[in-house]
Amino acid sequence: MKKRVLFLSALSFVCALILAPHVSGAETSSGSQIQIDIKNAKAKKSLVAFAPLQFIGNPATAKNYQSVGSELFRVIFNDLSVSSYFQFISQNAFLEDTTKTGIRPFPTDANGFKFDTWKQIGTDFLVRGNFTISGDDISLEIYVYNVTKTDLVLGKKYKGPTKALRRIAHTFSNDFMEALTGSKGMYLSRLVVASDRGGGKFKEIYVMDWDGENVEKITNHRSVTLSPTWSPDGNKVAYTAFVQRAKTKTRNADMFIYELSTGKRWLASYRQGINSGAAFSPDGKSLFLTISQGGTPDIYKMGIDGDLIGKITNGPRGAMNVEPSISADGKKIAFSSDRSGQPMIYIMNIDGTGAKRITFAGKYNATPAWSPDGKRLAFSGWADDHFDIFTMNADGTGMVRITSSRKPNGKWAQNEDPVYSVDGRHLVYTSNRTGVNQIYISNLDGSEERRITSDSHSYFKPKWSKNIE
Amino acid sequence: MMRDELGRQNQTLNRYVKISLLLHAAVLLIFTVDAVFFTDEPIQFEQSVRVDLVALPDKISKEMPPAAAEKTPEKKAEEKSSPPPVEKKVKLPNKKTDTEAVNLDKTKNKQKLAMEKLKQMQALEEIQKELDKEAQKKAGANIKFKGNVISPGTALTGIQRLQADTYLEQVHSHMVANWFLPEYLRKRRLRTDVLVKFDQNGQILSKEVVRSSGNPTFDDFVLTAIQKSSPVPAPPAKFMRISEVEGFLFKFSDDNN
Repeated sequence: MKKRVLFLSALSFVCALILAPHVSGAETSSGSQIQIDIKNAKAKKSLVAFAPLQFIGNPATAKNYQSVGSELFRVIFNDLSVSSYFQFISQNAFLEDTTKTGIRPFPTDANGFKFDTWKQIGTDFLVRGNFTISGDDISLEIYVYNVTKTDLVLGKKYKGPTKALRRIAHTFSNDFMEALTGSKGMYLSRLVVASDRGGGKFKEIYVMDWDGENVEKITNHRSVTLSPTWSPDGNKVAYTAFVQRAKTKTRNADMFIYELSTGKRWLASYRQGINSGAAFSPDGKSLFLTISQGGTPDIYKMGIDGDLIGKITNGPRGAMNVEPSISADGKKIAFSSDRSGQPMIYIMNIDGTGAKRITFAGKYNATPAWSPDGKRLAFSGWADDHFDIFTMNADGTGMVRITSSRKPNGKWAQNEDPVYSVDGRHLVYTSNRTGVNQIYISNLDGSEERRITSDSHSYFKPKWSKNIE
Repeated sequence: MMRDELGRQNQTLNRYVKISLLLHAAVLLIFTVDAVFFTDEPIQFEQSVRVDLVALPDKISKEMPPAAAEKTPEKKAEEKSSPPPVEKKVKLPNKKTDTEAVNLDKTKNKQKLAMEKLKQMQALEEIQKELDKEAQKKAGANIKFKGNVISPGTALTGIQRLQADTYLEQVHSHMVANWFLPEYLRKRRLRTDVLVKFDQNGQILSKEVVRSSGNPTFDDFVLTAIQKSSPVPAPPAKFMRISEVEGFLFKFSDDNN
């Protein structure tokens, strides 16, 4: 190498001597351009001024106006906070009395707000809105302004019954995200989860908004019910319940499908042994699930009516193949298997061919979940003496630890069962850091972790739906 | 006869020596050419045994513990110390007005306004502090980054080349320091190329978007970064003409590698 460099530099020196007069002249007019790459932008959060929503109308006819206004505000505020795009300006810093100025800018509205007063305090985005209540209906008129550009980002009117208040707020948050970034938020998505919150030793299935509100119980087996999962359209939930057989009086882990819009429920798979860990195919017509049929559990493909379509894994004798997760394009299955001795994450084609181990770190890796773009996987991995959440590229490289938390008694907490949000910007998982298994949400790098449920019950294996409009 | 014989032998010897030398030279040349112009294929080392890693990665915290530890007490101290002077300031005129017996209502109003303004300013300061902190955190995480300067076609060598590179590196780091993006525009794989011309003092004369990212807001943030960077480091003699006539092409992106 050195010789080569020496040789070339000597050569160029000789050439330079010969060509010297031309070079000096040709240098600037060579036509080639100086290019400088500026990468690695420093990120900053945008400053948002979110004024309390004005009530228009007669307070005497709508006594609940204060609670409606603050609830709308609270839901939107929480949505926007979780987006991690914004920093809110304290209302103490507002230079304008937002109860007296209009929700639209000055020339449009004679009593409107002035952009300058918001520019002065560095506002990037101003959110102004008002609402009316007539009978059981509320309507929200809300505007988002880009203060720097003195431009309207979004202006919309939403109307609906009072019980749809949270939906109205989430819909606005989604629309705001879309106007800002070009892609919708995840604020109309819901979680399905198994929980003991009904009391006793039973676990039943519950559906809730992504923020843990609006909880709905969808099973009543008075048994242990687990591993729920969403159909792609968000209208069906498949789950497993230990139910008693009428004839034999024995309990078996059977799989049910429940349709939310109709309330219809049917027994989809009741083969002897385990019928569990289902994942819908992207077209919603079939399920991938674990069936043991008396032997070791393997992954099967089954129609939603319960007919088996095929056996997907045929793992080495005695090895488990469980927890299938289907990529959004429907081409790959991630699953866990102990065929190498310890449970590890594997990926295979949708038909079961080409299985490949992708985790080699740690002792026990399980519950893989695809990111919506199919580029990364989240999973829980056993590190030292507890589970934590990790993400990695679909080939097993670029592994990142998402969680690390301790219980009040100083022992490591278990963080398990991760799942990506529909917009691919957040992760949800459970953690027992408070002593019971609660649901948490964080950004993809584990930052801005928040607790979603806030009670003394336990929640297991949450799954996250798409936006259910 | 003998001499003739000897002479002839000498001649043939000489010829063979010459041929031998030529052949040697040829062989040497072949090897030199081969070594210089034909690169060897790098040897591929392949693992025959894949060893299982033992540990899962640690969580990488964005906050750097020492920096955070140093800063928090300072901030708290400031916060604690700042309110009392505010009260004092407000109280002082109060006494004066009492003695001078000026219209009380008016002064009270003024005090109230002043108090409100102070509160607002304080709130603003806190927001700014938090923003700065976050920007620092992000910047800290990116410390490893090395400047990527491409300058094709500058036929400079030796010390001149070094000087040129140093200057371009200066311009690069100057511009990078002003390159901010809001969170909502990040990770979108956007790139905007801007042709920037500046005079001998580094004052920016013109900036022209040569290749738009397709996202007008992103383009705006790029132009803001350039505007904030004026004046750029003054160009050395070598670059004066280029900077004013041809301009530098800046390729702005959000890539982290």
